[in-house]
Amino acid sequence: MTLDDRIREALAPLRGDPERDAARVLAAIRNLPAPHAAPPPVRTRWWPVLVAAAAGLLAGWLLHRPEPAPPAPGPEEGPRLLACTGPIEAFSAARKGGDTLLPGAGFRIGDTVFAQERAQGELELGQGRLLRLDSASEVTTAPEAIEFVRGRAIALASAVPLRVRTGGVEATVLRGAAAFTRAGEATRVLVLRGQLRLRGADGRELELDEHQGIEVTAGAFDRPYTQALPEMSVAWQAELLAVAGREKELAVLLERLYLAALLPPVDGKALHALRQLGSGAMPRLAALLRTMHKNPLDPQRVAIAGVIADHCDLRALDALFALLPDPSPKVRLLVYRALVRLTGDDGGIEERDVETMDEERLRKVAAAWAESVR
Amino acid sequence: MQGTATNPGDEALVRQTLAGDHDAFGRLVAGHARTVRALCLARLGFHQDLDDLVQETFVHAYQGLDRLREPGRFAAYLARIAQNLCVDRLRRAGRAGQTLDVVEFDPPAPHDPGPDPDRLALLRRHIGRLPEALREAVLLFYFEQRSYAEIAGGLGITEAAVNQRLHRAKAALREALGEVEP
Repeated sequence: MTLDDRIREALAPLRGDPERDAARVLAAIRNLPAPHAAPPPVRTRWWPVLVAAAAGLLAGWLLHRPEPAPPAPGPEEGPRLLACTGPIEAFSAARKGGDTLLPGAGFRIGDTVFAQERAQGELELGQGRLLRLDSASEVTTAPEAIEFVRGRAIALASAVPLRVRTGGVEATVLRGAAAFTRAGEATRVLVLRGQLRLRGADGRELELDEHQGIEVTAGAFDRPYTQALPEMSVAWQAELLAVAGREKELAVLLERLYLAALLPPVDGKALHALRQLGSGAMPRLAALLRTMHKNPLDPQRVAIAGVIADHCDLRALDALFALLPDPSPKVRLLVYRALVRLTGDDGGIEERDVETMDEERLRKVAAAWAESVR
Repeated sequence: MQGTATNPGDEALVRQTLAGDHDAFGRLVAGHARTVRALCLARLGFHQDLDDLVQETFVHAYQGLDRLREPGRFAAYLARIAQNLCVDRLRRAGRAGQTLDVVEFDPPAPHDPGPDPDRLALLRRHIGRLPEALREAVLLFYFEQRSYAEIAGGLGITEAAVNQRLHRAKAALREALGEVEP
């Protein structure tokens, strides 16, 4: 059975029955008020009215002539989507529904911006202020502040502060970056770098510095929240950083998480964060594994290799071939299995030989294998 | 698929519905239900309450029918409603009922297919996880059984691009299923 036939067969149960759909809809609309065709327009002699109105407007304008208005901002000056890994929607009453934004597309102040599942987006809000939105997350823009509605987001400000309202409080990122996490009515705010000022519903103010955080609910400060390695809370942005071309920021994020994964007692949490990096970060992680701390007996290196093997995709092929002649037999085995999965080939060697083969020979095998799949 | 052309058949049925003929609206539903279904599938992946979503789309369409300025463009009007309802579903579905720690450190893992002994159900799940542009092409071709020319016309792309999207979709499905291209 061909793949085409199997796709048709797999989709067949979803085709539904249009007649049954029609019966269900007719039953649903039975008790609704019926729509009616709009009555034909009444023919009115409009021109005397229009002439009088135009004369009135002209007279009013001559009497109260306004100052020339400043030019309207161009699309490049308004808020816009800078980069995304999947569909980002902007919608509002003014738009009469939603629009999927493409990178570079502008949106209006007042729009709600929503990242679909498996999509992340970086929004430019002007004056050097950025907002990164994780999947299934949502914000509403307003002239004064961003309203963070759900999910995970990172707010970044440099020269001009960025105000974010959430959970009944207002957080002003004075400079640097802060992470926001919202679940139900509770919000967690964590300063990644720089400084943030928080104002509660009762007017109470609080300043938070780097690595300090707080949980808030219904406008009140609930409890402090600290995170020894804030990168663990924002590992999710790796794919977005890669797509947006923010190489330096991505390198720092990966390196800090990588080093944390090698060091107990935070290694478990850091490994967990590494799993959230996404497939796009795996080639860079493999490069770190290849070049840093090559102790073949280190079990943490093996654990990191396991993360790479589980989460890599075809983009990591070159990095995996380079990693195959690793000093650690366990790392080699994990890399070999990932290569077999991705290439559908075994490179001419059997699994049992991978652990014992000397590094030089394995390097030649990797080079030939890489050549065969190009 | 967002149709751009007007349809005289739809125009007549819309006018009959506005004149009080319920059966005419039933014929509109029967004629467009599969397209709405495909559109919702493309937008949401494989959703549990697809039947409800299709019904909701047509009920909204019925309620706003008197505001439809060009009755011949009923298909485009319907596609817009379905799209908005899908976005609304996506918004409401995201992270409901999760704790702060779960949202911060344990987001849902959409790439994990989970155990499923049924090969066709597994294939269906992988189709649901294709990027939206590829999933749309697969649904229009295999589900709605449209020709390359119809898909190209509806999506505003070339037939070669349709062919390429289907080819990429099948390659992605083969990889997800662990199969080698014949």
